[in-house]
Amino acid sequence: MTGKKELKKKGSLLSGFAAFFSSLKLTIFLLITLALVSIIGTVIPQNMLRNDYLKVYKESTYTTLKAVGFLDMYHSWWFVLILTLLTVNLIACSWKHFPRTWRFFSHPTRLLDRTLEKASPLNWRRSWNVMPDDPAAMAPRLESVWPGSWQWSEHVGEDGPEIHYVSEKGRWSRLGVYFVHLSVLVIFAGGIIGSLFGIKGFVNIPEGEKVGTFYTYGDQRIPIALGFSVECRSFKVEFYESGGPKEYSSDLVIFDGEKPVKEKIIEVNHPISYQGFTFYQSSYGAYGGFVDLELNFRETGLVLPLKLEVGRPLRLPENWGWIEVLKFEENYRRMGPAVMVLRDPGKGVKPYQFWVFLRFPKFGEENRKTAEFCVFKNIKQRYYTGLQVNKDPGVWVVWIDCIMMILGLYIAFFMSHRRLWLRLSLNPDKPKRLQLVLVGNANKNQPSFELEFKALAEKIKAWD
Amino acid sequence: MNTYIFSIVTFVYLAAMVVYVAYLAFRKPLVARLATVITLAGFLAQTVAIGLRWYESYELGIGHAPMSNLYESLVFFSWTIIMLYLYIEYKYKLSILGAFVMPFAFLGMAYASISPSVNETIQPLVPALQSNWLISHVVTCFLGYAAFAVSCGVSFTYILKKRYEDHQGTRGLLATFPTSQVLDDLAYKAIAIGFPMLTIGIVTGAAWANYAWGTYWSWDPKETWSLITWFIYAAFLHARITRGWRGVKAATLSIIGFVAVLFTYLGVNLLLSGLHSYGGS
Repeated sequence: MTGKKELKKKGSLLSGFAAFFSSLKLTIFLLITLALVSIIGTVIPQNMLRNDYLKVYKESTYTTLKAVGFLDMYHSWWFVLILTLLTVNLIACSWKHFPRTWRFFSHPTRLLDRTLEKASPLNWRRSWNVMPDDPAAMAPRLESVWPGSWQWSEHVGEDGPEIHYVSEKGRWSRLGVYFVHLSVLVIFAGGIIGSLFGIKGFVNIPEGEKVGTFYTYGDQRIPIALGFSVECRSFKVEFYESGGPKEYSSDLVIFDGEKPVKEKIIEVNHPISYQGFTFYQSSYGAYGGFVDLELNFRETGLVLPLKLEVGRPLRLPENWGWIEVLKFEENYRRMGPAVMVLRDPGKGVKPYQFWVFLRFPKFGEENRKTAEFCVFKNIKQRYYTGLQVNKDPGVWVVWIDCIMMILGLYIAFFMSHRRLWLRLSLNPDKPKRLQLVLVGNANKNQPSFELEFKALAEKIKAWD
Repeated sequence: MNTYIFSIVTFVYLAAMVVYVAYLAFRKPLVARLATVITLAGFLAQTVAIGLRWYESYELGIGHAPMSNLYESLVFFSWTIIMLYLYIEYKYKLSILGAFVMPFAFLGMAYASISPSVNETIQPLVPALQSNWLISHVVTCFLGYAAFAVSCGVSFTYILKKRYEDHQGTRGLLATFPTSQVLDDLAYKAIAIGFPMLTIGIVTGAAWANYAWGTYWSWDPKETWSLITWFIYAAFLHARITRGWRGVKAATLSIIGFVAVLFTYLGVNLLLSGLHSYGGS
C-alpha cells in the first residue's frame, strides 16, 4: 500500500521535474537572468593582472570580487551553471515538443473531415457538375493551378462516396526551430572543445631572430613549445600624417627543423597558420637599434658625434662621464621620433634624463640649461613584432554551426508549412451535383497565404 | 560637402517627423502623403551624401566605406531606420507608424550633426579596421538595430493601444491607431528581421575578430552587450508564445531590448572601454 503511494509520489516528482525543465517560462527566466548577470563582466574589467586590479580596488574588495568569481565571471561556476540549465531546458523542450512536430511527417492529415473544415478560417466551397471517373485524373488539373504534388484517397462519407485531395509545401520548415536550438547546443560544444583543447598566448620576436616557444597570458606566463620555429625576417610600419599607424607587417618564415617550410608577410587581418597554430599580427615595439647623437659643449663649442646602441651605456673619453639612450619612441607626444637620454656628466653633477627630438633639434638646445646639449641626428631602428598565437580545434565546429543557426533562423522566421485540402462529395441537397470544398492552412505568415488561397479559389471557380 | 547635406537632412527628417505627428492628429491622407514625400526626399539626399562621403574619402587617399567612426555610424544608423521604415510603410500601408519611428532617425542625425563631441571629419582607418569584414559586419548589425528601433516604436504604440482597448475607449487619438493585434504582429515582424540580422552581425563580428586577433569571442564589453541584446530578444520570441507572457509583457521586453541595443551601440563606446572605441572620437 505504502509502496504504491511512494511510487506515485516519485512519479509525480519526476514528472514535476520534467514539467519544470521543459517549460518556456524557465527559458524566459534563464534568458533574462543571463542578460542581467552578463552586465557584471562589462562593468568590472575581466581577467586583468592582480596588480592592475589593486590600482583600482582595495585589497579586501579585490579578494571579495575574486572569491565570488566577478573577475572571471564568464567562466565562474554560477555562470556555467546557468548555461547548463539553459542547455537542459533546451533539450527538455525539444524532447517534449518534437513528437508533436514529427506527427506532421509520420501522420500527415490526409482527410478533410468536418472538424478540420470548421476549424479552418480559410475555406471555400462551390457546387460543381463534373464527377471524375478516375480520381487520379484530377491531380494534373489541380497541379496546373497549385504547383506541388497532390495525393488523393477515396472514402465513404455521411452522404455517399467522397474523394479527398491533399497537397503540402514546406513541411520541413517546421524543423527550422529545432535547427536553431540544436545549433545553440553545438556552439556550446565548440566553445568547450576550444577551451579544453585550445591554447592562446603571445610571443615577441625581434627582427632577425627565431623562436620555438610562446607564452600564455595571465599572472604566470608559461612557455609553450611550438614544435617548430618562427623567424621574423623584417618588420615594417607606416604612419598616417596624423601620426596613427597605417599599416604594420612582419615577414615571417616558419622552419621545421632547419628547413624553411612556409613564408608570409603577415599584417593585421592577415594571419599565418601552421600545424594548427595561427599567428596574428597584434603589436610591435622598438627593440634596440643604433642612434646617432651629437653632444655639444656650450663652453668650448666642441661637438662630439656619438653612435649609441639603445639600452647600452657608453663611457665618454676624457673625464666627460657616461651617456645612454634609454628608449626610443616612434611618435613621442605627437612630435615624431624621439629618444630618451640618460646623462651622467660626473664631476659631482647629478645624473639627469631628457627627451630629444629628431624633427626639432633646437628643442634640446633651448630648453636645457645645462653645460651641454644633445642633438638627435639619426636612428637605425630595430623592431620586435608582437604576435598573438592561437590554436583552437573547436573553431570549425563553431563556424559551421553559425551557418546552421542563420539558415535555421531564416527557415524558422520566413518559411511556412502550407497545406491545402480539397474534398469532392455528392451534394446532399441536390444529389446529382457535386460539392467541392477547399481548405487551406499555413503555420506562419497567414495573410500572404490567404492571398494565394484566394487566387487558387478564383482559378477553381473558373472550372467547368 | 557631405556634412553640409547631412545637416540639411537632419532638418528634413525633423520636418517629416512633425508632419507624421500632424497626420496622427488629423488623419488626412494628404498629410501622410506629404510626410512620405518629405521622408523620401531626405532619404535620397542622405543616400547621395553617403556616396559622396565615400568618394571623398578616396579623394583624400584614405578610401573606406563611411562606417568607421561615431559620426558615420550615426548617419548610417538613421539611414537604415528610414530605409526599413519606408519599406514597412509601403508594404503594410501604416503611415501612422512614422510618428513613432521618425524620432529615432531624427535624433540619430541630430546627435551626429550637433554634438561637439562627435568628430565629423573623414578619418583614416586603423589597421584592425582595414578589412572586408567591416562592411558586412556593420551593415548587418545596423539593419538589426534599425529593425529593433521600428519594433520599439511599434511596441510602445502597442502598449498605449492595448491599455486603451482594455478600458474600452472609443474616442480620441488612440481610436485611430491600428488594433493591438496588428501592432503586436508588426512588432514581431520587425524583430523577425532584426533577430537574424543581429545574429549575422554577431557571427560576422566573431569571424572578423578571429581573423584579426585569433579569438572569436573574448567577452569584450561590446560583444557581451550584443549578446545581452540577443538574450533579451530571444526572451521576447519565447515570451510571445508563452501564456502569461504574451501581450504587454512581451512588448515591454521589446522596448527593453531596444534600450540594450542603444547601450550596445552607444553606451559601451561612451561609458565602457574595449575594442570598439570608434578611434577615440
